[in-house]
Amino acid sequence: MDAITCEHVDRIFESKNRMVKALNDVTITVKKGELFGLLGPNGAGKTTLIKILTTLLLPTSGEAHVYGYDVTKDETKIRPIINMVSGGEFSGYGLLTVHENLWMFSQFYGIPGKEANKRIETLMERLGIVHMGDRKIRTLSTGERQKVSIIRAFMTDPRVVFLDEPTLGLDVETARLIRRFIQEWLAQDSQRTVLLTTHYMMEADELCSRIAIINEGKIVALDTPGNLKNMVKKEISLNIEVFPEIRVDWLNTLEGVMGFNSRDAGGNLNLRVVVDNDATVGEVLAGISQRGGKISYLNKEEPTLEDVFLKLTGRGLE
Amino acid sequence: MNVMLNLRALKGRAYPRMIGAVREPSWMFWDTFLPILSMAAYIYVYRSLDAPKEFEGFVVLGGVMTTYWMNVLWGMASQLYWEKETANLQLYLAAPMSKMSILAGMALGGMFSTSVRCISIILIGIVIFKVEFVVTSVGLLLGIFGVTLVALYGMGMVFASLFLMWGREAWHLNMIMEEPIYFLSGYSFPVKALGSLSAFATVIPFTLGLDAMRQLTFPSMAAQWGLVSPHLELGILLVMSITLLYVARLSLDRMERMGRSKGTLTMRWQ
Amino acid sequence: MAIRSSLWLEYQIEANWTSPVIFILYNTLKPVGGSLLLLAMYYVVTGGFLGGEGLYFLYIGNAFYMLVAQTLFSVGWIIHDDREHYQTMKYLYISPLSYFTYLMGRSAMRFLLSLLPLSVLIGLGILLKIPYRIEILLLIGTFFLGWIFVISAGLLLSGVNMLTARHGNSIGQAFSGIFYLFSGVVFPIHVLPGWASTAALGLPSTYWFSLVRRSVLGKEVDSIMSGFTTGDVAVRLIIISVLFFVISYLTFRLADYLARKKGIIDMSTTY
Repeated sequence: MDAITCEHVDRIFESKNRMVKALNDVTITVKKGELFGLLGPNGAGKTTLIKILTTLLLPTSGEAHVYGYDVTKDETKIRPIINMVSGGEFSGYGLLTVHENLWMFSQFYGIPGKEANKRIETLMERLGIVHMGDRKIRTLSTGERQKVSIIRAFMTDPRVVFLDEPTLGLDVETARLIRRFIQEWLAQDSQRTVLLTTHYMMEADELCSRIAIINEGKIVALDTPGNLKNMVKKEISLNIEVFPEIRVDWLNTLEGVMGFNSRDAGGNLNLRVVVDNDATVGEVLAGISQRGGKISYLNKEEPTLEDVFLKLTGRGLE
Repeated sequence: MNVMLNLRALKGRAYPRMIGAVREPSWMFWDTFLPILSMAAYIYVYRSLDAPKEFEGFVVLGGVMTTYWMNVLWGMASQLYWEKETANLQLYLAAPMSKMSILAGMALGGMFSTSVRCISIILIGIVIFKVEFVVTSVGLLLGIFGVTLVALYGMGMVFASLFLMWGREAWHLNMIMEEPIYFLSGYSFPVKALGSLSAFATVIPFTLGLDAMRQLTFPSMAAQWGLVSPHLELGILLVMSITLLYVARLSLDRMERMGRSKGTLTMRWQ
Repeated sequence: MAIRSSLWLEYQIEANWTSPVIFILYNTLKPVGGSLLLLAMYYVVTGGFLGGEGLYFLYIGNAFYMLVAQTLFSVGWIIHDDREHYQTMKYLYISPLSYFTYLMGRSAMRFLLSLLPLSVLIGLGILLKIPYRIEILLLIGTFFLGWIFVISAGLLLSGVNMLTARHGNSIGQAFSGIFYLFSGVVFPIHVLPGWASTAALGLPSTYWFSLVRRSVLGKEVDSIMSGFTTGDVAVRLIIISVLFFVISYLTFRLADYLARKKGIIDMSTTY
């Protein structure tokens, strides 16, 4: 039995004036013991899928199962074996201390008091906040609060954990600590499973054994990070710094350009372009020059997941 | 049903309410002292009209029961809306315990501050306004009080289920369930005065409970202003309690499912 | 401009959750319920609904009290709503619009919206044969002075809310209970114990409700307040209202300073 299966899942949101198809024929399978990533930009449907799998939302059509239980009918069987963390969203009560908040949530899973306290202490120590137990939750920093959310989810010893952008808005060190914690937790038991959504490619690349790329509600690719990157091996990935900043919308119509992404870099333009042949490289560079841009840096790079995303969707992740 | 799980969940949710009341004692002023002032105003209305002293006692008992009603409305029913707005609701729903245990935890946790307010109201009634309660049957009085609370909180759970679906509509619904319900339940006057409307008013659990408690504490007014006998009222309240708890359970499940279907369970700032 | 934005915002928050018809119905049910409660009390004592100075007194007092209660109910909730529900407090603070102006605008709109149920209650009063003798100029002046008094009370309440936790949701309603009891709203102040009727003369609301009765019923039946001429009452109301506004404003500013000093502008206190 797989940890998670989704078969042809659709989810449509309807309001008075409009209809949004948040998920479109999503089919994925996540094996037990796997750290599965769902990579996509904001609004791609990642959170909607997590809500369906955590029994907070029903699919409009299709079927989804967690540990063999149907998310539509068997929510009482699924809830004891799952937990979730949403990045940037902090739960609990401001008047309670960190320890009290965690203890309260442990009670919702029926964990006896002593056992709950032991688990909380152990996890707080591992995440480096053991000295913060008596602090009111409202006084914590963003990173500290996120560590509390992580403990809240993992202290119930779930079979499947859903992490929705768990490192959103965190500093590098805290994000690294949380990523390491997730990896270690998973390695301790082969039956544990994590489904992680992120729009940080590095994170997905570093953590996930397999990744599904989701765009506008559709899964556009699903494979290991290595195989996904192989998809763009024959393509050429260019990293170009241009000054002064110029318009680059002409790249949309240039034949051979598979995707591009541009960022402002303090008056300069940081441009990443994926092209499918050497001749197009020349045309891109000539086009920049014709539009008054000067190239201060040019590098042909190893393909990344961002290049995969650019190729598949024609747009960047951020 | 996992009884231990639900008892722990109840204890877990009651805890913040109790500890919050200790850590932020300003509720004593807002939730106890100030509301008593409005109740006192009704007593002075009766004094200005040279009403029988027992009517002042009616107001005191009305003040006690409406305190529980307020706890049901603001401390429990609408709380699910607030939990949704503060991102806690999705964690409650994704957890394995029954939603009723969470609601019961909110109610029990809030019972401390509610009871402080009720005791204050009774003490002020006795000490400042010299209300004389003549209790004819303590057992029956306590029984009716207890069953009324169960029915009241059962009704609160039914409302809470609606709040899973609705957003600000539910919030506003709470507002109109104050004064109009005070009127229909006879908060400050004997409900019998409403004539045939009082039969309709008995769907609000504390209408009957309040009437019975008034009959048992002010026996001199029972013949003129009592609706039906307290024993019959107890019987009706018992049936209401069981029915409301059953309906609450069904309704919570149904509304949760509708919320999952429409996607309103986690939609904030609705 | 800032005032207009906050007026608009208050209207949206109060009204855009439903259709205008339901909003009007909703806005009216609560005050009508409150009035019916008092009428029932009058009925159980006197055996009738019609006639009697006591009935006119409590009916008109209660109808106009709705302006105070409903405005304070909303204002009492603004700080906690901005701080903990919509979490917009810090953004409002750093915007060019002053938070004080914002509060003024929102309370003004709530006051205006409360005129609707008041007019319904005044209309229903015709059925109760309330002997209206409306003095329109005096009534307009009374509304204006009432607004000053209510926003001052709202400002005071907001100052306190900045420093305290969110408890129930009817803080504003509970706060307005002070005026309900001590201002001769539904019974003459001579019914209160001696110390309380003396204290009542220090509240702006006592003079305001007296002006309300004079402008709507054409007379004052409260034995203590009828000792003052209408001019006296108006002058006292203006002086005490100005004093009350200054105290409320200073309290608000102090609370604002303390909240920033303690770092609790955007605290979360839910439990």
